[in-house]
Amino acid sequence: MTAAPGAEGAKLVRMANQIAAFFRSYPEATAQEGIRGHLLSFWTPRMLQDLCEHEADTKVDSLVRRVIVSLRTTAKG
Amino acid sequence: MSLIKELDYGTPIRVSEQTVTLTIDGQSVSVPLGTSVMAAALHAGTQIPKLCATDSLEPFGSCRLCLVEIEGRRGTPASCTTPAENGMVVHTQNDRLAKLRRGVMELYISDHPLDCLTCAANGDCELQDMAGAVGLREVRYGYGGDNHIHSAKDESNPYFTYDASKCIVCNRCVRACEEVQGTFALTIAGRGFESRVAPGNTDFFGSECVSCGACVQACPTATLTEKTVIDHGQPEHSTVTTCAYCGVGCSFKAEMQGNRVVRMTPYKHGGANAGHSCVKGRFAYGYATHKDRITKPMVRAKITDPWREVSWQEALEHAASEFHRLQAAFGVDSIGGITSSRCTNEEAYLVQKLVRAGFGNNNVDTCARVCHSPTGYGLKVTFGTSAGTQDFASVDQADVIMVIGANPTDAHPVFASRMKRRLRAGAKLIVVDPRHIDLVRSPHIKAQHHLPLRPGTNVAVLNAMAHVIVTEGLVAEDYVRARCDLAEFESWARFAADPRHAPEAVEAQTGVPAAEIRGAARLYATGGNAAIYYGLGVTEHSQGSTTVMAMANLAMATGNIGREGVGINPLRGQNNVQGSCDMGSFPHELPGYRHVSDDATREMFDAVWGSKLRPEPGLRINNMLDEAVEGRFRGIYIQGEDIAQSDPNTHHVIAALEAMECVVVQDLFLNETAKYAHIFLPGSSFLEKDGTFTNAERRINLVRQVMPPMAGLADWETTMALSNALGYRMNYTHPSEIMDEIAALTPTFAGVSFKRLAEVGSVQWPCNDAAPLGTPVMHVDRFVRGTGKFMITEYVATEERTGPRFPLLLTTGRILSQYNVGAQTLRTENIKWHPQDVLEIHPFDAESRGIVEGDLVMLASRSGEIALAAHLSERVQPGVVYTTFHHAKSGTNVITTEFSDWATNCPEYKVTAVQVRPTNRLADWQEQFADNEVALKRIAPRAAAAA
Amino acid sequence: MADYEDWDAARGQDIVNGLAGLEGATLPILHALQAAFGCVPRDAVPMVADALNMSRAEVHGCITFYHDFRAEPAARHVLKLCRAEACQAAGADALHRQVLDELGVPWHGTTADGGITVEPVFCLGLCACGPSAMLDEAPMARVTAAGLRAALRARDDPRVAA
Repeated sequence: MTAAPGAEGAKLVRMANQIAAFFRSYPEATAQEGIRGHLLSFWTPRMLQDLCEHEADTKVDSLVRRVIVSLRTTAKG
Repeated sequence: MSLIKELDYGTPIRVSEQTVTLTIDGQSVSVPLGTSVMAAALHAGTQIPKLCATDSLEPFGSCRLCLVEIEGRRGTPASCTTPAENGMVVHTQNDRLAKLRRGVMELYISDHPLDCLTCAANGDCELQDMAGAVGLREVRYGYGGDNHIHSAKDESNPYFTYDASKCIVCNRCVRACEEVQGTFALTIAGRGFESRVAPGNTDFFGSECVSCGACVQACPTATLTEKTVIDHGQPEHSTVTTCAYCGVGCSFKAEMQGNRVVRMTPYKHGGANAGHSCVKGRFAYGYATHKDRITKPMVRAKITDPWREVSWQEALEHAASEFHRLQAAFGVDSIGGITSSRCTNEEAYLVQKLVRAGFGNNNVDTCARVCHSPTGYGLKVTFGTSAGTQDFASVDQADVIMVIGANPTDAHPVFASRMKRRLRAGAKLIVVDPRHIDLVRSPHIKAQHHLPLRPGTNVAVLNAMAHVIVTEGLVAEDYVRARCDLAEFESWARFAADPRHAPEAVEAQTGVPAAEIRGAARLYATGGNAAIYYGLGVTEHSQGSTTVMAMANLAMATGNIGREGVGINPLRGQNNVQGSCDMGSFPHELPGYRHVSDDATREMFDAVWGSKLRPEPGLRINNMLDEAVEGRFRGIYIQGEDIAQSDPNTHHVIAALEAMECVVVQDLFLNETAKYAHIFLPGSSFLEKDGTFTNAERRINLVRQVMPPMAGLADWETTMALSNALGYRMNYTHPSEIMDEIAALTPTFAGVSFKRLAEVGSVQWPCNDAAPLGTPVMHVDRFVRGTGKFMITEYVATEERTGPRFPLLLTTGRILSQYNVGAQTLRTENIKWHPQDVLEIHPFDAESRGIVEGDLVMLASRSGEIALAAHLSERVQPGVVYTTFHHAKSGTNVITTEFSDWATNCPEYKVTAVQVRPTNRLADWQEQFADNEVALKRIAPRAAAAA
Repeated sequence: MADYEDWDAARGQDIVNGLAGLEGATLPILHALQAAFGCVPRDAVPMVADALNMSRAEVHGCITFYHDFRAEPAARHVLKLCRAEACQAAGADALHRQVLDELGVPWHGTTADGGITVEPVFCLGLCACGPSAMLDEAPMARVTAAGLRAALRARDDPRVAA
């Protein structure tokens, strides 16, 4: 059996938003670095990739979205 | 092998820098100041006869057997209550003393049954020994006078009997209950000739007794005796090993007759327990040989098929071929493994090695994910080490003890006894807990402050305490300046000082009166050595990691890290949850908490393992389950964990397991997860293998085999065989070789070996050249990470909210007699104390729902519903309900949600919005559970299996 | 003799609460309970324990240590017979056997009509003129079976009582 398509993606978005909520109290640059470092330390490459695919999702926290942009750049670089 | 006999000094061993020198029976002896004449005599090699004295208890001076002569003093003082003094000249043996002692013994024996030959204590009776020691040959009073020889036995406790006819009223049991255990469940009822030991005006089972066994241990006669000793007789050999229940890690002597455990006796030299025990470790070991043990490997094609018993070879080859098939079809990352926090360090190490090197991915996780993963994260970020800062003995130096989200008297009872002893000696106590736990108020213990917060608001309360400390000038500025990162401190201090964190500002949100928070903060900051002890009430929240960091902030700000009596102390749930984390069980970390992305570390492992380790983190348990539901994750090797019962949102866990093609479960029993397994590998109990466990204080204790594995293989051998079947070679002949490999690859374990552990008993990591005997207290001169790092800990409320449909908050926990999913304790007599899980509900909430005591009620959340019996209790506050999760049939985790800690995904077990209503039926899930108990656990008859 | 109140939990709790603040409150509370109910009722034990933050066992130990605290109210009259050494030397044991037989009760027993409770006591301080006894509040010296019979009869005789 499989869950509704995208259910996992929604979970990843929620997880990323939670991480952002913790770092929000820090200055923007520190917060972005914190979120980015956290994702790279604890998420599998595929989870990161799935998250990146949700960049346009309106549920994605704006901080997370900016981190996604930087993750894409790293991936390309 | 022989029976280990521990020397009894009669009175507690004193510690003092000053010594006194005296002469005993012509021999000069020097002892620490405060030592009794009795203990000094034993130092000099002379055992003075005694009955009421034992070195776990303060001297009492009632039996009058230990009389001595001291030159220059009148009479014959009791040596137990007389402190040794400089220049004393003591005589312990002469005709006068012998006559006196014999006279005393005559009185004892005139009221004691003369049934030594048929007595359970025969061979292990101090009264018998003393009769021999004083040369008792006759009892001039005869045996016909008034006596207690026909007193009734109390056999109500499932594990021991109280035979009053054999009692000499020495008070050792009463004193043990008070001094050692701290429960005060025993007394001497009556006076004079009528004096009898009594558990109050009731029997033992109905009393306040918690069945820790301290009284049985203290009894010098057969009065309090283990039923197993009555049934089987005295043990003939014993082996020191480590308890496999909670994270306290008590040392026990497994006292044996051949391969049968006759009793477990707490070991006096145990670093964690110093001779004390609880009802689980001491008595509830029967599960290890329970008839439910599965001792044959089994396989089946579908979970609805009956299990088929097969050879080890067939099971292992089948597992290997399935894992190979899945990886070939769905990719290297389509399988993973779970290490067990109940197994040994060596076994956890092998499982993660198998996953990383054998499976070729980092998809390994452990049950710490669902308990203390935030501890690892939070303390690593702030201090630099994923572990508690102190040893247990440190609590003896604490002046203020703050207990947050922990219920030590139930979940860590042996440590709780030590803590209570310190509290009775005057330390102050702060309890932060939504429930009125025993520590808030129980005989001779009373918290100065109880902060009964709304579940889920830990961070708000701790930030409010920080606010008080910062704004009232209570920061230990010198400490912070010397030890911490100042810039981080300053931004934290500005954050904490913000008026939105004031106790008054968060009162409505937390439910805690501002004055209580202010009082608690002032006490914590100014009361002397302040130590924080915490449990899963901290970690199992959306903000678990934030809470750990918030506590670390408080400790750093007040200078309470880096010496005895202070610290941040996680009370870890399972026997080896610290160890399994240390051993690299997390998907992002190799042994010793080194990130998989660290090239140098990986290269070192690759060289020894012959592997090519992956630099990216693997999947956490919850991610594995999510991906299984999505169809990406197809197979799993689970050693000694029951995710189907213990992980949150059971419906989701089961859906994930059902979606997998190869679930391999290695366990003692057909557990809940095994209902969804295709291959079952029989596990081995802690009695059946050698290895080590690491407890909550980072103490590495030896586990020693006392009987052969019932299934033929110990768990480490099974993992090794599976690895070899997979084609990744492992070749160890003994777990000590695995530890040698761990030590070679892990700097914090560099000095650990089985040989060292056998020599010194135990060590606390880091143990290396810099600290060859280990490290009881961490961060003494500097933090492991260099400077202490304050973190900004904004309170972010959980998304799990109460509302009209689910107006109550459910929080969960456990109780003294039971352990986690109950696989062990429910297979022992401990079930008598907890035949079912019940729902604690405040009388106010019950009344408004028309619920009375004992009613069956339906507990419903967004995840599911279950039916439980209601228990009306003011331990919970209005708006909060509470239950335990020990019985699989209760299905407590059907209710819990998938919300989790932001940093570690530790599930939010402690906060679930629920509704409660009367019902007259079980929940659908529970009905289904009963069906599945039969349908998914069938084992084909052996003949059919052969056919 | 006093008329005792029937056990009432709220009343018991009031008594306990009223005295719990005293230093060394255990004995005053137990005395007050016994004064009200004629005994320390079993149900009062957890209340005392809770109020003083002691265990129930400790309270039980305290109650049973003092013979004067009762688990059940005594009969209208209490006869205490001294069993200490001096009285034994004066023949108390034989006397006691006879008295207990005549009343048909064991030690601590109450007669079938509920009239008298007989209790042992260890020394009333009347050693010079034993066997001694105490009937309710009145000490008796050189006790004989006949003398006791008369005293017990007189005790329930309104003319004597007046």
